[in-house]
Amino acid sequence: MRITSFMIFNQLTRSLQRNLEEMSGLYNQVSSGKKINKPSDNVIGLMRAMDYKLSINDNAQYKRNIGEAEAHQDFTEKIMSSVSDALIRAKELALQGVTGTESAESRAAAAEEVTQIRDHLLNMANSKFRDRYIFSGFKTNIQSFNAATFDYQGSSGIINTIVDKGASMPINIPGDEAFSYFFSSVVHSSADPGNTGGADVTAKSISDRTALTFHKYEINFTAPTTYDVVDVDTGATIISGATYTSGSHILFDGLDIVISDVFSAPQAGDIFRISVNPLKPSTLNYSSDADITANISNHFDLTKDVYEVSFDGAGNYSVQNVNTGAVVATGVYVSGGTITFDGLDVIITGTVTSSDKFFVSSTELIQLDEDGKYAHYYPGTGTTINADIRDAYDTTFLDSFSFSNFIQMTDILSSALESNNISRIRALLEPLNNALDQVTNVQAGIGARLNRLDDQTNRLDDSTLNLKTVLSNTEDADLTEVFSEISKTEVALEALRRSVAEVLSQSLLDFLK
Amino acid sequence: MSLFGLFDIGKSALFASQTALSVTSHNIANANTPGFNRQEAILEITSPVAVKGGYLGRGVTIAGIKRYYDRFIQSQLLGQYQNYGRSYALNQALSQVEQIFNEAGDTGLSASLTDYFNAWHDVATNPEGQPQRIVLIEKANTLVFTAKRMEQGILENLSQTNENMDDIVDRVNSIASDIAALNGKITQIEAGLKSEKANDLRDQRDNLLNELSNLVEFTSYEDKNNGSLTVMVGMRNLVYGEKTNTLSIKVNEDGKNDLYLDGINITGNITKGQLGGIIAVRDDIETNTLGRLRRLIASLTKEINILHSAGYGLDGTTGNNFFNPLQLSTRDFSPGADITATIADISQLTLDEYNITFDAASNYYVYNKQTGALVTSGAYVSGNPITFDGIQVVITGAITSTDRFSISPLTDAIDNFGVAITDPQKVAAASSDADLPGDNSNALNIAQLPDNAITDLGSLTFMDYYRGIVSGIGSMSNAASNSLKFDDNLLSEIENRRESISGVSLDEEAANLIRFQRSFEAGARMIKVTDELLQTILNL
Repeated sequence: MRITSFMIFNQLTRSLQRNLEEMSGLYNQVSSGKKINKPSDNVIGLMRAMDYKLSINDNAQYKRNIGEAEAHQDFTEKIMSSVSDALIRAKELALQGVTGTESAESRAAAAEEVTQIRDHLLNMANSKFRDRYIFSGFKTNIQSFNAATFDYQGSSGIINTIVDKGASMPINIPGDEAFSYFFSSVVHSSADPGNTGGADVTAKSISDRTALTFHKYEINFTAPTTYDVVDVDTGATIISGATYTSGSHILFDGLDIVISDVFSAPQAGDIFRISVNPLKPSTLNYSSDADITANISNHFDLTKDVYEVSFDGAGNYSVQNVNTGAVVATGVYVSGGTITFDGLDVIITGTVTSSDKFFVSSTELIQLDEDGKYAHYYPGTGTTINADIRDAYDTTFLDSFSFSNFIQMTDILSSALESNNISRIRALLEPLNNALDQVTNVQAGIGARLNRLDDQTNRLDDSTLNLKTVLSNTEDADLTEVFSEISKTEVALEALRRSVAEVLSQSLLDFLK
Repeated sequence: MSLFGLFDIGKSALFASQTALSVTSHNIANANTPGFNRQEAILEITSPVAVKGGYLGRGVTIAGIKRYYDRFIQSQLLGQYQNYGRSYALNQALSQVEQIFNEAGDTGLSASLTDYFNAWHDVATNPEGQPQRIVLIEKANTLVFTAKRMEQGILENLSQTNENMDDIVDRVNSIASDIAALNGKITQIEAGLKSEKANDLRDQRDNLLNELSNLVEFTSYEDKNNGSLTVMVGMRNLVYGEKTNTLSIKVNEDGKNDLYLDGINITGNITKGQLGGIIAVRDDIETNTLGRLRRLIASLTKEINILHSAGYGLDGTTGNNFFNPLQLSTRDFSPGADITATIADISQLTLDEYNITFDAASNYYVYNKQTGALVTSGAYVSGNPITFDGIQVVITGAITSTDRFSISPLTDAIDNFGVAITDPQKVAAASSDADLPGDNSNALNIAQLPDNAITDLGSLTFMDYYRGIVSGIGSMSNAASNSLKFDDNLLSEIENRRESISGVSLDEEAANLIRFQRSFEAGARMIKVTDELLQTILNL
């Protein structure tokens, strides 16, 4: 090939240019510390880097959220343990108060202390964290409990925070949850025997115990896809003309009911009955020989009332509703025979005498003392608990009280101590125990949340560390490599410059003198 | 043959050497002139005379001056210049746009976007807090600013590209008239001659062609009879003989420059050269980059506004848009009718663009521009609303079958993009006014929006869709810079081959200089010897 000076010159300048370009790219990597300096440097790499950066940012945000949630839980945890201490002290004072050796004066002194416990509980329940009332649900600007009536004033709102992609966690406990308890109850349901459709209740649960009314409900299908929900106790239609789809949740008054097409769709006129009741009825036995067991035969016929089973000398039994005075069943007593009334099946075995008595209720009955006093606890709306104290032998109504939360409960305890009302103090022992259980549950819940937050923090830290490593591998320049590359290029550039000097200075003209 | 004949032989040697020296000097002088083809004096034996006993030579003569020129390489060179020009224009535009999407640093849109959603997280953690709400509005403003800056950057790039087109077209026209002028001179000089004689003029013309091929795709052919060159761009004549047609630019209805030659729109026929590159890249940038960026912002506006307006601010108000609501822009290609388009139901909006056309029977047809699908059609009644995909259109006036309207929710998406909320109280963190101020559930919904697959974005998340835009521009820019390197190498290869044949080697010319100097000296000596011979005879 014929070579001209222009070709040589061109070749050399191009090589120089290429080397300088490479050099500039390498210097760019050194100055930025990155091997990807613009999208076209490495499209795939940049896409990955963007993805990693996004995840690292997300993790950082989740960790910030978790930090906030943790601070919240720690604070709540401290309050609940203080609440627990206060309730333990209240229980000690109540136990002292029921001892016969105590005097009215010493009970009055205890009343003073319980009043202080009540105020302490109120203060705790109205705690503020970062200027928010933490037990007020969503109403964080309103005192959680009324200072005069001790009624809950917040909402049942659960404040969530996002702790991971698609995962959120509650950070608060509404005050009516934290400072009250309720009887362990279940949701009962039954399909009307006359239903012509093939649908049934496939799931039922309590979604918000603070909203429960303990009423009975009927879900009436007016058409295969339309239903009403009627509160049987008040006669009010709570939900009217709602559209039914199989498997959808029907929510009302703190209940979550799912009806599905088990065999086929429901038909117009189909009825489903819902009620909330205790698992088992409770009984009191005032007999020397006989035993009693009671079961629920029909949840929808249950009342919250107490029933007294008594016997005459002729071997007949009689069941009387203590609350209404109505006699609901009579008959000849047969040991082991079933007596059915108001949704209950009662079976009494053994020998009975005319002085024997039994008390049965679908709600809770507790014997208070040997004199025959007993307490009947039954739920009101939401977290309200009612208590009646009666005498078993003359079935007279002695006393009643009700409370919705621990503050109100200690308030009643304080006044009972003050007024030397021993049977009321005694009747409060059971609620005090339940309250302590509830506080322990809340504490366990917070502990579980803290554990989960802790695990999540660790997971996020691990993930961030991994992501940072892969991000660095993807976009960071390996400086050792870059510098060795730079020296290599420098050597090549040097050699090139020398040869340019050599080649370009040579010409035949130089030799023709 | 007389002794004087020797003078003639000497003289012919002197003349030949002198001419050869001139050619060599011309070569040396033009060693660095672009497009110059090396020349050589062709020496030829002068026809001999018959003498007794045979033929006697009468010296040397110059048969011609040859140009070292390879037609094949030249045409390869023209083709490669066209490729190179295209790659150059692509690389030029894309490397600039790429910088706008430079996510390699930490300043791109993704940073603003994540900051914005992080601010929602912080509002969710502190729904009552004023500072978090103020920060959110600040971050939203930054996001708006970033998006606007990016759109501005792309639009500036596009308008620069358009201006470049003006400059290139001017240069093409000036080259065309130069070529036409050279055509005239070449035909004049070469008239009646069998071979190409106008070496330097042809070099000039070839050089102009090289430059032209860098600018625009063309084909050319030479009239064998008179050496005149015809240049065709987009199958129309640019130069024919001594005449030219002017390449001109007209702005079309989309606001883009179209190329016209000889009254015909040739834009679609030009794929190579810098003009070809510009035409390709501006469409690419507009649909793939700008269009998708606008779609992203439109989708963000839509999704955030839907969620936000369902929520409640601390002041209990609801139905507030967080960003300025999306607006439809319409284009009216009808002399007699007018169009107004409004968003009837934002949640049904697909973020696609639509064309409305009419037939001779006064029926209207609404087509989705993106999918090409017929969305709805019916009989046109002036003033009757046409509703489709969440859009309500009212057209009034007389229409003809050539009338056309287009509707776009994207065109102004970034232009109108702005934070509608100024009062931090109105940031809707709550889902119900009954649960103020602690309810954060709406803020949570919005904070989790980036995790959701968005239907309008092809079921991608905001960030995935944006990554798609960046990777698109990155890949295009990468491909452009690779093909520029490739075309540059190939060009240099072909130039080397041309140089190998046509280039001036100074060493070679130096050798020729000596050679012809010596032959000139020898010729002179011959005359001197002849003179001495004549002296000898005269002194007899």
